Amino acid sequence: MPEARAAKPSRPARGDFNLADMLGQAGWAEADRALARALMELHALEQAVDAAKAPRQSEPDANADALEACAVMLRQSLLQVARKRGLSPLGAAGAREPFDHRRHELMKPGARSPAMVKIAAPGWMRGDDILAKALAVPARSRSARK
Amino acid sequence: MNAEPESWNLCVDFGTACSKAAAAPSNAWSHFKPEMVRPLAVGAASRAGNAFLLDSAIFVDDESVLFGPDAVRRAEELESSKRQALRSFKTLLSAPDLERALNTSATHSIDPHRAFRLRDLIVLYLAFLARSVDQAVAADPALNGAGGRFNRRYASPAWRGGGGAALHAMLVRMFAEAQAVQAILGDAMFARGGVSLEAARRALASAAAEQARGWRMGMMFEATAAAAYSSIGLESSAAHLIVVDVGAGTTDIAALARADAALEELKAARVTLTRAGDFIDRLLLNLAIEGAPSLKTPAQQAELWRSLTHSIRDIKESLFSEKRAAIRHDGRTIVIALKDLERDKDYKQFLKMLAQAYEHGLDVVLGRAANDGEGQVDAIAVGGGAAAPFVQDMLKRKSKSGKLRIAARPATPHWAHAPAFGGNLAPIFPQLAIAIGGALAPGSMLAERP
Repeated sequence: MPEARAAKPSRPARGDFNLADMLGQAGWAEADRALARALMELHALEQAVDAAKAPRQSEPDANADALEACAVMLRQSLLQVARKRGLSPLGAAGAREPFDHRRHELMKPGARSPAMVKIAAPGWMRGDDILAKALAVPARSRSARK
Repeated sequence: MNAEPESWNLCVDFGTACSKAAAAPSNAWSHFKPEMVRPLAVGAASRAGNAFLLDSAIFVDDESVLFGPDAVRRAEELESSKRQALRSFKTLLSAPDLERALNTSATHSIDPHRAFRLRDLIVLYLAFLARSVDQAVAADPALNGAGGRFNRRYASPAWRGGGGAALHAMLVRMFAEAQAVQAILGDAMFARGGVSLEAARRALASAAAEQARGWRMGMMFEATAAAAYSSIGLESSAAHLIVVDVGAGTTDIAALARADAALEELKAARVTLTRAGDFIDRLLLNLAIEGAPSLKTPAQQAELWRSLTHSIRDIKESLFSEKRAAIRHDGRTIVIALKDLERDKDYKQFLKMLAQAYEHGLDVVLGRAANDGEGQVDAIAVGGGAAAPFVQDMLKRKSKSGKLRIAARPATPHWAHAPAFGGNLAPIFPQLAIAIGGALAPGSMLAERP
């Protein structure tokens, strides 16, 4: 007797499907593990900070080592999340650039915008979208420094 | 509004660790619109974490056969009892005597019942993959009106032992049987408990008798697929290319040259190295053990090794992008620096072999480009190791021949950032690249026609 045939896959209604959203979920699935590790390190970091703030520190070096280890692991895990989600840094810490209000946020905004800024902390972008502007402080231009 | 394409190309990348698939209009090569590229959510029906990846795995349980992510999960549950899922079928398919290898029974750890030949298990997995592809096509409104107008092809590394046409015919037969099996087993393959051993055996017997008449599929070299996604939509599509594929088990160098409408592989350029991503993983695991002198016993070291095997790829990615990586184990932090890896004798030897293989391939393709009167050779890296700095640095080296330029193409083409994808295709593009390139390429680029 011939084998029974399985039904063909059913077709969903139009509008239920968004390829870009599904690709986004796939990216998050890749990033989730790294995010989970980052959250665990955050907990360890909080514990290390509590220990460092305790009034009687018997082992200050050990506390500093624990804090440093947490910072290293947290940074690594968060950078993994960023890569898996397609984020890239905007600017490099210490770099001097002409001020651009679309790319830079001044740490202490003044009445006038500076011509040059020094990047204090890089911002983050995804594709062409700037998610967080780079934090910057006013810097003297190279010609003014000479 | 876009007119519906008359037909689509659908390419399956039957991968070592995961399988992927994508579709693109058959005329994409001449009328390219990025938004018409459709990666297929082949993992959605089996609840895979990343819906676009489907684990290449099958597990023979006590009374059932499990597929994809369920097979991987079950094998992990039974790890201590030395049971295994069958994985890496792709490696098996490059065995020198494939017919004989396929007719061998699976080992006891894979099939304790000795009920299946390796060929049977691969056909069952291909049936699961075929059903997953059909589900993904049905779910995508852009595709589900295509009424079966798909030109199907699969991507393959270049066959190492020759006999490409015979091997292609054998694989198409297996894909054809898999179609018949999936029509019988249907969505039962997505059930968490899998399908019964008896149902799987009966479906295989019925499919072998029926031989899925008229099933047609083409074959595309992975290097050609890489050329297709890298050069599509550019004003001057690449005529001469060198492709470096750093996979898990092997590193392949291939060169291609345009011959009429097709891309011809320059066989003299082909080199396959048996060291690749897995080899670097092992070196890193050894460095991690060296970095933990407190782990003295083999059992302690084995525990560190076991705990790292699931995260070693992320650790490697961090090491290459940040020049150091940290590992937590047993309350301690072990830091591996890139320079530690670069000092390793075996790593240095691997880089030397890779550089020699690349230079050889480059000489061949530069020679051909010069003969063809072209001024440029494009260099592309694909596979899990494409973004590694030693690969990218190699691609950016200048040509020794002053007249010819080497243009290093980015691992993710610019079009993958098109607004239609909302920034979500680019991060996972490297994993889907071969399936997408295989779907974009015109029929004239197929190594084996249907």
